[in-house]
Amino acid sequence: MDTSLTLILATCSGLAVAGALAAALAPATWRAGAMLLLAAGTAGALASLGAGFAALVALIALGAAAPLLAESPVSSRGLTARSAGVPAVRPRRLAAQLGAVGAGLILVLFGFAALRGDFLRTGYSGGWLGTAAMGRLLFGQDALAADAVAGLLFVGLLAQTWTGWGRR
Amino acid sequence: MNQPLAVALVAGAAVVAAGVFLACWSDAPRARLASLPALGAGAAIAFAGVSRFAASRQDPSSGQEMAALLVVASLAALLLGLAFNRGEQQA
Repeated sequence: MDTSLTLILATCSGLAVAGALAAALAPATWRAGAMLLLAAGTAGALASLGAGFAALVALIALGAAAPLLAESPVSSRGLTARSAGVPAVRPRRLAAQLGAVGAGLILVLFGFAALRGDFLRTGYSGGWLGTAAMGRLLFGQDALAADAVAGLLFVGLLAQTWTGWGRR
Repeated sequence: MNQPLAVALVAGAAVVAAGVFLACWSDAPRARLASLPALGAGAAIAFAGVSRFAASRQDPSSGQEMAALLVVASLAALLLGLAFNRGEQQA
């Protein structure tokens, strides 16, 4: 590992530490930005260590944590405390219905592509991210670990749906 | 221990320590839950570093695999924690 990569690793790790500290010390409205800084720093550190696939996953997973932890300017209690004449929930319900229709369309599209599509038969080395080796590990050798993490993610999303939408 | 491995482990440990500080400092539940991604990120950096500079190179991708699984697991734990927190607030 040469000096430049060591410097990149140290800088990105410093960014990640700064993001975590900012999430603790900064005002609550800055927490989403601090989590994005943590995500970017972690992804950079992993990429400097040659773990490109893990860097991409970290950027997506930790970046997804930022809007989850963002402080909403209006709480749900504030929405329910509004007067009856103000249609505060209606646009969100419409967006959820549109999202459900879009998810159904995507499922139909994927099904059509899987059943009727024709694919190019050629070799694929996995590219510079090493996705072929990671796929062999995640879906072959260590498939049980990947299934466990996917199950945990599913339970988390299910709990979010239950507590978020059931009492809206 | 060679120097690059030490740098990677120190970097991961620093992020983990920042996550622990984040969990202990604030009183707000959301701020405490924000420590979960930081803890996972630090452990992922350490795993990737050990995999990169391990003495035996028999399975060099397993550390990267563990790093990817750790960050996804931390996101799942964050989702669960936020759901429990919201359930307690609504109860």
